[in-house]
Amino acid sequence: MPTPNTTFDANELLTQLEDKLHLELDDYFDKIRQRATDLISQGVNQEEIRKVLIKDIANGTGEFGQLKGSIGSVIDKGIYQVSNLASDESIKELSNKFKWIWEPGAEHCDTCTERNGQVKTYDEWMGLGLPGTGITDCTIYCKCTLVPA
Amino acid sequence: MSTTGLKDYHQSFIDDTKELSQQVKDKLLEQLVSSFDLDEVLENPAIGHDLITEFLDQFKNYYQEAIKLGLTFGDIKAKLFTDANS
Repeated sequence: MPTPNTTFDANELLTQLEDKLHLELDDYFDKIRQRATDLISQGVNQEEIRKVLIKDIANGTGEFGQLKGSIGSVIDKGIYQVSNLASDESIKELSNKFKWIWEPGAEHCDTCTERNGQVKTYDEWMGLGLPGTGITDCTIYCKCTLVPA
Repeated sequence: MSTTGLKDYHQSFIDDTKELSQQVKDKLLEQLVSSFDLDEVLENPAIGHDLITEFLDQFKNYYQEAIKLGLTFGDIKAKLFTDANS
C-alpha cells in the first residue's frame, strides 16, 4: 500500500511502537519466570505451572493479560497519534494561526479546557504538544483538533 | 474559520479512528494470541519477538489507514476554511 503524502515521519512513530512492544514482551518473559520461580518455591510442580500460564494465554488473564493490554494500548496510541498528526500536519500551510477547539460533546481534561479557543502559530502548538500526541491530561484519546484561524 | 459545520465531521473522524483501533485490536491481537505457543516462546524467546515483528508488519497496513483518516479530515478542515474565506 503506498504511503500517503505526509510531512511527518510516520515510520519513526512505528519504530517507537515496535521498540515498545519488544520491551513489553521481554517484561512478560521476566514476569512469568518470576511467577514460575515463586510457585516452584511453594512446591507447585512444573506441569501445573505450565497449565496455569497456558490458561492465562487462552483467557487473556494474569501476566499475559497485562501483555495483551499493553499491546492494545500501543495499538490505540499508534492509530490515534498518527491520524491526529496527519490531520494537523495536512493543514499547517493554510494559515499563520490555528485555533485549538474541542469536540463539543466530549468530556474535557484540564489541559484541553485551558487550550480550547486559544490561537497560536502551528509551531507554537507543536511546541506545546498537538492534540492526540499524548501531552494533554486526556493523553492520546484527546478529542480536540486544530483549525485555521 | 467558523467551526459551525465542523462538529459532525470531527465526530465522524473520532468515531472512525476509534473503530479502526478496535478493528486492529480485535483482529491482530487475537491472531497474536492464537499464535502464541508458550512452550515454543519460552524455549526460544526470539520466536516471541518474531511474532511481534510479524504483528507489526500487518499493523503497518492499518497504520496507513489511520494516516488516510487524518488526511481526509484535514482536507475537510481545509475546504471549510477555504469556503469561509471565499
